[in-house]
Amino acid sequence: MAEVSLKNIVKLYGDVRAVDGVSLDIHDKEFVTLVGPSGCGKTTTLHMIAGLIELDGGDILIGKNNVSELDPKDRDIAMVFQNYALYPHKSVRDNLMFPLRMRKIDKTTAEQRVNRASKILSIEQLLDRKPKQLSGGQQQRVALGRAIVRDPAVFLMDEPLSNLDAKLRVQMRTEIKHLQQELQATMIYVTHDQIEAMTMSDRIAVMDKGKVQQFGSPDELFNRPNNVFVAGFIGNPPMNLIPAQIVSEGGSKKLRMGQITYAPQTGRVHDLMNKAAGEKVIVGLRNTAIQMVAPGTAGSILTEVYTVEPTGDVTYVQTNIGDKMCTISSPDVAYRGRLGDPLSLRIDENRLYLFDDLSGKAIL
Amino acid sequence: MLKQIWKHRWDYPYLLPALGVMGLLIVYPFFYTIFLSFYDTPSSRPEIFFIGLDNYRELFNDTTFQLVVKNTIVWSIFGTLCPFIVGFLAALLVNQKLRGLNFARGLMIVPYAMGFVPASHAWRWILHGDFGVITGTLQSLGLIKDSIPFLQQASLIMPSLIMINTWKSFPFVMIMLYAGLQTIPEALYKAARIDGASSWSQFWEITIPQLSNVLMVTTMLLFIGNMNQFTLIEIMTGGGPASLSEIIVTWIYHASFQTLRFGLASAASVLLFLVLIVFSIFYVRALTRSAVQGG
Ligand SMILES: Nc1ncnc2c1ncn2[C@@H]1O[C@H](COP(=O)(O)OP(=O)(O)OP(=O)(O)O)[C@@H](O)[C@H]1O
Ligand SMILES: [Mg+2]
Repeated sequence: MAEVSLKNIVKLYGDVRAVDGVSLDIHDKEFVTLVGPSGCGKTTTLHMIAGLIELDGGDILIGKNNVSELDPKDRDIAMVFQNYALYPHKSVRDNLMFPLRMRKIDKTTAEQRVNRASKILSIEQLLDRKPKQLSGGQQQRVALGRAIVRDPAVFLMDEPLSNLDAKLRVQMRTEIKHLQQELQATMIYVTHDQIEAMTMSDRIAVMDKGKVQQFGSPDELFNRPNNVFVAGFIGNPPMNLIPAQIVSEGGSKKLRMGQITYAPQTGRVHDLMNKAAGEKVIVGLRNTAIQMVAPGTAGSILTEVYTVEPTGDVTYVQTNIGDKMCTISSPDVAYRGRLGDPLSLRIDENRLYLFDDLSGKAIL
Repeated sequence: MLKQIWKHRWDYPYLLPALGVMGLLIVYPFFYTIFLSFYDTPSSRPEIFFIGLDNYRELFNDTTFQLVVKNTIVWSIFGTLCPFIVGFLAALLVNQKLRGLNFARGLMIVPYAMGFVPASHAWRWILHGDFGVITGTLQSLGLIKDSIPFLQQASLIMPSLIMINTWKSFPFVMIMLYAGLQTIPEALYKAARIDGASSWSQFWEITIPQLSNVLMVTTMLLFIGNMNQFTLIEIMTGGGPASLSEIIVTWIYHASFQTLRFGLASAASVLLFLVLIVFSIFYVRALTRSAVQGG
């Protein structure tokens, strides 16, 4: 069992800095997810850890060993690929046997391990089939099986659920999480789906443009985003990010968001505004940090309904705040406002974030 | 089934012209050849005479024809094997991600792109015992004294022809297998590397099984092509000297149009057809079986 350390690893493709100085310290038995938009370097990072791609800089340690120069087979890792990469001409049993056979593990031990793995994943009745004769979910299990037969120190998984339908994805999410705890393995998991990341991980590394934007627990990322990117990426619906300006009016500082000039009530936001380097900022508000209140409530701002989106257990209301389309949740699930209906909104200032407009960094 | 046919009854007339042409060019000659193989066709007279299996009997007892069969076997086995091996190695080479390979790829297709007739004529002169470039070069370098009669000496004729066929046909194998190699998902090799497979194991455990269909089709096409390879042999040696390089197709041609023994030639054609059909059935079955299994 092993911890994994990435020390400033770099991968260049011509001018593209696919992975641009990523450093992560992953604990033993930890479930860490790399999440980020398409092209941010998740797969490249994972393949570098696996040894499938050579490093252009930095070091990778697994356990206490520097494995930067080692072959994939000598790194004590197993990997599940996005498209499973099962050997099409081999039966399920032979697919599972393959890593053991290549490592010259004696036949009886190998068969025991294959049987154990297929039991864990409930694929015993599929052992004699070819991958083509399996459903997507079953192929997924076989791919997991091929990874676990070897008892590796570290599992690497590249979007293993992205080819499954929504329902199966939720189910496999739970199973993979459970499997990781049962096997007591270190897991590095790649996804572009932030919900998957939030629900499965001990810690999440949010990546963008080849760099780690923030590395922390799901709670930390949700409640204390480092920057605008993380704030906008984590959480569903995404955080409302409203461009604003800090203005002085009548001796006190206020936030101007488009037509709306907002006078903060609490000391916390005043302190934040005092720390704002420039005048331009981005106001971050989660959908639940904006409340619909009775018309005329003190400190409320006035807007209009754009659309109402009922989802069953929550009803979202879209409205323009300072020229920015924002999503808020209605306290009344049955609320069915129409286009143009007036809205009074109160901002929960304890949950208001300010980000620097230029750097995108959170202002503390 | 019948319903389907009935439903499309007015579509069939449109097929008639094509079917007519095919009937004229394929079906009629096919049956006429079988028919002729049971007849004596004396060149001196317009009539033909039914002689039963006499033509076949004559073929089996003819020592020249036995030599021709032996030549055909040697030719089609080694003429298939050699281009296959060279072509496979070339395909593996051009499949590497190395610089300058685009040029090499283009260059290697040249023999294939050249017609059989000019290529055969060129090689006939290159290998010529008295005026050939090879003999000439070796002589002027002082490496040999006498000329090498590639296309005259019994022990050199078949190897020379097979060598030229290898040169001419390996690009076909290369193109087919290169295309096949391109279809193998890169991820399989990545998975195999993580599973601990060496390059050697990757070749046998992934490349070969993934290519099996293409390997089979390529071998079959090459083999049948060789069995029917008339142009190269006719131009290079005309089957000679003394039938040493005669294969069944050239022999059939000579028997028909030089000695005018159409009945005997037809019998040989029928035999060749039977051999080819057996191979085709064998391959088609192997192909469909592997397709069902999902190779
Ligand atoms: N072999 C390659 N050659 C050139 N550029 C590459 C190569 N592989 C990846 N890249 C580039 O590196 C960047 C990171 O790619 P990577 O595959 O790691 O993204 P990703 O985060 O896995 O995205 P996705 O979610 O779409 O899978 C991209 O800009 C991509 O275009
Ligand atoms: Mg990817």
